[in-house]
Amino acid sequence: MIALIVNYKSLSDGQLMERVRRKDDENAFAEIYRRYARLLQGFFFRRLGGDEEQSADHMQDTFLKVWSSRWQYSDGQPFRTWIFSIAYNLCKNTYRQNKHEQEYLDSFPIDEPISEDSTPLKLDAATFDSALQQELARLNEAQQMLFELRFTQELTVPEIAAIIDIPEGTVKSRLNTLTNYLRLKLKDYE
Amino acid sequence: MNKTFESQLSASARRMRKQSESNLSVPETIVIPQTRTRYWGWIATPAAAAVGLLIGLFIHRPAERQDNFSVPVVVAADNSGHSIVEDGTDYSLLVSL
Repeated sequence: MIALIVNYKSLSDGQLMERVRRKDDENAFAEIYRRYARLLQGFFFRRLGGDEEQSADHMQDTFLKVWSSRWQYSDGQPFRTWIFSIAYNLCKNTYRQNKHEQEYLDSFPIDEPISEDSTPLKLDAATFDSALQQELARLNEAQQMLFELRFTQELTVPEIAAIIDIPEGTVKSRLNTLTNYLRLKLKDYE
Repeated sequence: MNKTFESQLSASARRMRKQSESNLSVPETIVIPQTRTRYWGWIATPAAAAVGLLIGLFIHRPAERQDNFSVPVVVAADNSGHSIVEDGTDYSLLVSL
């Protein structure tokens, strides 16, 4: 009897998911969990107002959804995009439940006055991070989500378009507006 | 210029992400709902029942059909000790009287 030992750590996300889908391979699923649990919990933590318990619940819900929808995963489909689509939809449902749906607006409050006499600040990373965090907190949920996907998760425009389910051109345009807005707000820290 | 600012945003976002994720306590495992046996249960159960039925029929088959599998009956032995059986086969090495 030849025992086949699978080195799960050496498999790609797609290969692991294929094993989950075809063989109900719980070890492959555990490896996916090991790779993405912290990443997704962090995603929910930032997107849901820093509630650690809720972010853990949402992270686990995402994985349960991955398991229960494993038949829907098709070979060759980018796994990261697929799992973030699930996470994104969970987030969106939570926003709706929290009656924050109206925050899904495309417009940006870029016409806010910026003080002309603002003195240049010391340009260190911590200062920039802190200023950016403050500006991000002022954005609406959709804008924050866009920032999260593009800059925090470092997803590409096509990936974001697939996750949010909007055309790539729209993503590019929104990203451009968002970047210009933040640039204007953070010009002293550049 | 804009590209540089985007890089700056990415670097900042990465730092913030690292910081927020490092403080999280992430459950080490996740409880997977009981794995369903897909269609195998629907195949294996009737197949096992059919095999059981066949075994039962074989064990309790009619007695006359068992004659085909009867052992040769020794009816006599000659002086050399060779056994003579009904069908004329010499089974002396196996049975001697």
